[in-house]
Amino acid sequence: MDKSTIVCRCEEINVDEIETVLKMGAETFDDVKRITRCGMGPCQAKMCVKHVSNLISEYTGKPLAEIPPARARMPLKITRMRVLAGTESHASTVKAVFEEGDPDEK
Amino acid sequence: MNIDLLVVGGGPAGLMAALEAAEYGVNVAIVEESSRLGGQLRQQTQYLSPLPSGIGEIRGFELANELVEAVTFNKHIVTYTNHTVIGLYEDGSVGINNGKEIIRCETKKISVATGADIQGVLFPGWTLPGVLTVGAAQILVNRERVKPGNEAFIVGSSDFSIEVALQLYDVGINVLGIVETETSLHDRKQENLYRLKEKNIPILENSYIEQAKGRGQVEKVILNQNGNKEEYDVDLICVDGGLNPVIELCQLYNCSFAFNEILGGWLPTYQANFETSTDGVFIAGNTAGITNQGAVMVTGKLAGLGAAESLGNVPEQAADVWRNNYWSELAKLENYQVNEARTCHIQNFETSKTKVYET
Repeated sequence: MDKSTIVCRCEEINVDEIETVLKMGAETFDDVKRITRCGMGPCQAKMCVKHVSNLISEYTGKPLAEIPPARARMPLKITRMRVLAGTESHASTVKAVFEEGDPDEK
Repeated sequence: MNIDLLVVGGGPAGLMAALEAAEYGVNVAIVEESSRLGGQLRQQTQYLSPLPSGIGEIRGFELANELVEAVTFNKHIVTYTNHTVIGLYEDGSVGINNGKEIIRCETKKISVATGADIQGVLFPGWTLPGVLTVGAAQILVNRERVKPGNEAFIVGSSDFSIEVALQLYDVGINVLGIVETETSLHDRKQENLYRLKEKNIPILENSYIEQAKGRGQVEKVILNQNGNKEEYDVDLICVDGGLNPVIELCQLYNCSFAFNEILGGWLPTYQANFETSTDGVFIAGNTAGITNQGAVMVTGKLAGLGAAESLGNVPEQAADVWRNNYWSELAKLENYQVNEARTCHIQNFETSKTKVYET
């Protein structure tokens, strides 16, 4: 396949970039992610994890069963900073800053 | 929010888990990130088969309506649509985003029914507009009433993508063919293959998409069939790269995982009651292994029963009787290979405790 084929469309990482980090010694999806940002965009690796695992498997010769999945962390889904910072019930200084800067608020 | 059982995901598995647990007086909350319950059933216009006993011939969206109605009128169940589980806190509470703030939910048990992600297929040009997953194409046509293109190729020949090919044909899209890398097609629903023939939609074996081309959107495709390349004018490519269980929440719960190719790849290990290696964390539906809609519903029942039993709402003996019934129903409904793989996965529960990334 053409090396310029995009694998992670959120971060626009192509086959060539992934193969380069595999040559550098990357062995897992998370290795590839930390070096290239592959899988760190809005979809959070949903679209690319299988493709990357397949590329790792092809390059290292390891079966897919030995290539761990991408590690998920909180927050699992796209979350507004304002929501994370809390509202009335758990007021915080951070929250005050958000409210001041938000023209939508009242 | 303080409840007995939190069900994450309002698709067929989650709804069945909630209904089953509620039968035994368990107070259940269902959290669903989209605006409506029903999950993938919402855009299934085809008749579903096989289905659990007691459910007659019914189309997917009609079944969704029935389940949603049952859940809505059940006094033990509360539903929260437009609510998204975003993670766990140190005190064990579950963080739920309602769009304004994070609600911390304290629950005794949790049932993860987050379903599966459909995967894409890699080829140069796959990021062009006009390349969709078969699932997305089906949502556009059946739910949003949008025709995504006029001339299409389907990539991948699962029963589901064949079903979508037929539905695209029915709304006037010219389906040039179903592209399949394999050379032998086994285990496909005979009835669907017959309908494909009737509509003159060929399955192109031993073939793959070499490249999709176009300015700003798909305009041409180069198909490689038996080593011969040919160019076609198409504006729609619907890809089916298989389904992956959604396991993120189980990762936060530090469940053990095992790789099982037939069940869809990495998934939590679990026992016959669908409880994972983490106490109180149950899984249901495609999260517990990719299977058909009918079987998904039964796994929901099993997880709901398991949760009710561990809460002390069902005596062990009674639970065992029901569990055996559900397991034999599951064996009848799902593909033999899948059921075998599932049985194996459960037998390996103790031995296959591989913790992935404990950080």
